[in-house]
Amino acid sequence: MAGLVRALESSVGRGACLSRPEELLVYECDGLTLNRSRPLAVVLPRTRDEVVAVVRACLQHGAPFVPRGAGTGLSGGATPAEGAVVIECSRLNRILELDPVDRFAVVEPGVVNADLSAAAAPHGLFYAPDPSSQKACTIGGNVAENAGGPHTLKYGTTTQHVLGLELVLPDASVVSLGSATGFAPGYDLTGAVVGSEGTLGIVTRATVRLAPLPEKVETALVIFPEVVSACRAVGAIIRAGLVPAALEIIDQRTIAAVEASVYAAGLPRDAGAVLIVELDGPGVALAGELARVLEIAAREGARESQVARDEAERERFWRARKGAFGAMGRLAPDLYVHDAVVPRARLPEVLAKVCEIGDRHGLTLSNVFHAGDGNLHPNISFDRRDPDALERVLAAGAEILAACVAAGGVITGEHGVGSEKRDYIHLVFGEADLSAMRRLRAAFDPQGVCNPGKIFPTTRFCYEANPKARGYDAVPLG
Amino acid sequence: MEARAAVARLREELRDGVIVAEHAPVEIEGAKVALTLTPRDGAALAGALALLSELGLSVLPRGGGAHQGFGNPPARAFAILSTAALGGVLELDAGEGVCRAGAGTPLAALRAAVNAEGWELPLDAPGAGATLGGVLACAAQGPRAQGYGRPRDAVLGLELALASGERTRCGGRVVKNVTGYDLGKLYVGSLGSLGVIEAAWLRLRPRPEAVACLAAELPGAGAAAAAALAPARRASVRAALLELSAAGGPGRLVVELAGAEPSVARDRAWLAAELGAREAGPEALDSLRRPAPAPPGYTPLRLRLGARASRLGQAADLLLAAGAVVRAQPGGGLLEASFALPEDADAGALEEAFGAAARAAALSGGAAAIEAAPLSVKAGREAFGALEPRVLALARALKAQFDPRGVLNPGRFAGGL
Repeated sequence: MAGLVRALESSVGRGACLSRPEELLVYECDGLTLNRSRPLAVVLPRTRDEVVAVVRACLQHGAPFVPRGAGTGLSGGATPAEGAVVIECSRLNRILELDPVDRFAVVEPGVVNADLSAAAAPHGLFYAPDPSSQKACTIGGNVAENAGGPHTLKYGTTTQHVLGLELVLPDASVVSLGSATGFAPGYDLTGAVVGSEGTLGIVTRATVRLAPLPEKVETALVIFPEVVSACRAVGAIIRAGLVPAALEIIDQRTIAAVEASVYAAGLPRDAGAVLIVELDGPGVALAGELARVLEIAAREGARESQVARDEAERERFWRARKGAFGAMGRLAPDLYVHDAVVPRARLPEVLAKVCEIGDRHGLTLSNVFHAGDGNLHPNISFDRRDPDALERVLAAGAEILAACVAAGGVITGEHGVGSEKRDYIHLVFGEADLSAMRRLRAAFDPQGVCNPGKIFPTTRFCYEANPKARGYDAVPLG
Repeated sequence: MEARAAVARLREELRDGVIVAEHAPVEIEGAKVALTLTPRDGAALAGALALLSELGLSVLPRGGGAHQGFGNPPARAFAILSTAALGGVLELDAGEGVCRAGAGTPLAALRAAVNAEGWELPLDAPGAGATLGGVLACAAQGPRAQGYGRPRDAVLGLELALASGERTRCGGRVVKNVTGYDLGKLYVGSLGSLGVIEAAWLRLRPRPEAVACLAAELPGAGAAAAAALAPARRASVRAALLELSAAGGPGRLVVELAGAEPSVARDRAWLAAELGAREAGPEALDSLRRPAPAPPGYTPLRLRLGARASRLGQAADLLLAAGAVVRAQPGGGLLEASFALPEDADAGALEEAFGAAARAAALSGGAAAIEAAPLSVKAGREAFGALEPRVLALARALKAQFDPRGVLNPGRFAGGL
C-alpha cells in the first residue's frame, strides 16, 4: 500500500494525494450516506496525463479505482470499493472551448453544471440538463449517471446533450469518442458510456451541446385539493400534445415541510398538492399554450392557479420545489431520496401505494417528483442511529421499488443503480439482460478494475436468498 | 459444415418456428445467398441464432431490404435472416405517447397506426419499404431529425436476440430510465452486428398543430450554406435542407415548419420577408431528399459527413469544386455529397471525390462515410470512413463479446466487423 501511495504521489504531486484517515473520511460516501467505505487514497489530478499516470499506478499495484465528481450522487456510484483509489475530478475544471456559432462546449469533467450555463448565457445559450444539485454537481458526474432534472421533460437527459467524450480507459489508454458535429460512424460508444456510472473509464473531456435560451418562459403554480387530480392533470396535458419544459408535483406532506422551513414559498398548507408548470418557447405561442394548460388543470379539479408575474415570483415557485430536500433536514437527521419511474397514468395508484408503504412502516415519507416523466422521488426522513428505523427504511424502499416495477416502471430514472440498487436490478432485468450488459463491461474493462461493485448484483439472486445482503456492510442491520 | 447438411439440420431443429426457404441466389453486395430464414417469433429468432452460432454459419439480417446497400460488403453469408414475421404494433399507449412494435413492422404502417392515435412517429427514414428494425439497426435518418431527434433518441427500450441465442431486453417503456447500461444506444446503428432487434419501445411526439413548407433561393453556393444557418435555426423548424448543384451557383433551401400555429405563422412570415421564401407543397422536402439517380453510363456515389455550422459553406465549396451535388442540413450538422462519375472514368476521378470529401470532413474534425456506392467503388475502402485505432480496438472487443463466432452480418459494419 505504501508503494501505491508513493506511486500516486509521484503521479499527481504530494499535495494532490490524500491518504491519512482523517482526510479520507469525507470520501467514504457520496449523497447516499447510508453506504460507506473508506478509500485507500484519494488523488486530485489536474490534467488528463495525471489521470493516466494514476490509472497506471493503480494497475501496477492491483488497486481498483473510482472516478468522483462533486459527490452529489444519490446511488452510491462514487462510493469506493474495498481498497479502491478515488480519482477526484474537481480540479479538472476548465471550460476548454465554448463555440457560440456551432453551439457546443468542450469541458473537463469537474466543471460545475450551473457554471457551464452561466458561461454560455452571454451567447444566448445554456446547458439544458439541470439536476436539482446543479450548483454543485459536475459534468463528469452528470455524464456518469446520465443525470436528468426538472426540465428533461422537454429537453431530454444528459445523453441527448453529449456529443463526444475523451475517456481514460481502464487499461490507461486514452480514447476519443464521438464528434462535435454529432456525426460519428461506428458504434455509438459515446451513448454507451453516458450513464455507465463510471464503470467503463474516466471521462477527461466532454463535448456537449448548448441549446438556445428560450425566448420566453411562463411558470404557473397550480393548486389541487388532492394529489390524484394533480396527476390526472399532468396526464391530460401530455395527452393534449403540449410539451411543457417542466411538470413538477409537490405533495401535501412536502408542502408542510417546505412551509415550515426557510424555503417557505407561501404554498397553501391546506392544498393536497401543487403542480409547477413551466412552458418555454416562442413568445407568440406561449400565451395560448399556458391558457390551454390552465384550462386542462381547472377541468381536472385545480382549485387555483397563479402565474408568475416576474422573475422573483418564478424563483419563489421553484424555491418550493428545489428547497424540498433541504426542508426535509428539519424533520430528521437523515434523508433517503428514492428514485423510480412509472408510466404517467399509473402515478395516482402508485403514489397511494407508496404512501401506504411508508405509513405501514411508521415512516415520515413525502413526495416531490417529476410528474411529467412519471419519475417519483419518495423521500423518507429518518435517524439512522436508530437501527430499527433504518431497517424499516430499507424494507419500505424495497417495497416501493417492487410496486413501481409491478406498475410497468423501473427502479431508477436519474440517480443510477450504483451500489444502492444493484441487488434490485433483478426486479427489472433477467440474467440474459445482465449478460448483455456484462459483455459491454468486459469490452471496456475486462479486469473489472474501474468502479467495481456497481450496477451488477453482488451475487446472483442473493436478494431472493437474503433480503438484507444489500452491500450496506458498514451499517449494522440489527 | 456442408451447406446441404446445414440446411437439413436447421429444418430439423428449428421445425415450425422458422420458415426455411431455399431460393434462387440473391446477390447482396457481392454475396450470393440462396437461403432465407424467417423466424415466426422472438423465441424462434433466438433459437435460430443459437443454432447458427453453434454451426458457425453467418446471416445477413434483413427487414424491408431498404438499406441492404449500406455498409461494407459482407465477408460471408450463409443465409438471409428476415424479420418479416416479427411485425406488428404490439401496444400503443395513446395516453402515454409510447408504443411497442415488432422489428418487422413496415415504417409506413407504424406511422399510420401512430397518427391515428393523434401522435407522430419521430423516425424519418428515407428508404421505401423500410421496417422499424432496419431503420434502427442502420440509424437511418432524414432531415426531420432536426426536430425529431436522432433515431436513438426515439428508442425507450429494445428487445434483442444475441448471437448466443439469449433473448434480452434493455431500457423499458417509461420515458426516463437509467436502470443498467444504456445498451439501446449501442444497438441502434450497429447494423445488426451485435444482435438482432426483435421489438422496440418508442417515444412518440405530439402531432404539430400546424405544418408549413417553404422554399427559397439563396445565392452563392458556400455563401448560401452560411446564409441558410439562421433560417434553419428558427424556433419552429423541423427540417431544413439546402441543395447546391453547381460551384458558385445558387442553392435551393427547403424549410419545414411544425409546431404551434402562432410560431409557425411567425417563422413563415420571417422566411418570406428575409429570404423571399415561398410556400412549397409538403412534397418539396420529400422530393429533395430522394437521391437523384445517376444518368445512364454514370456511377453514383453518395458520401455523408458531419459539418460544423461555421464550416458548412467552406465544406460545401470544396465538394462542389470536385463536381458533387451537395445536400446540407444546416440545422443538423450534416452534408451529403452526390457524385456521378463516368463509368469509364479512371481511378483518379474517384480519388478526387473521396479526397474532397475527406478534406471537407476534416474541416469539422470528422471523416466521410459512404452512404451509397456500387460494389466496385467500395472495394478496398472502409465504407464508414477510417476509425481511430483505439476506437477500432474497442469496437473489435465489443464484437468479440457479443458475436464471438462472427455470425451476425460479418464484415459489414464499421471497421469490417
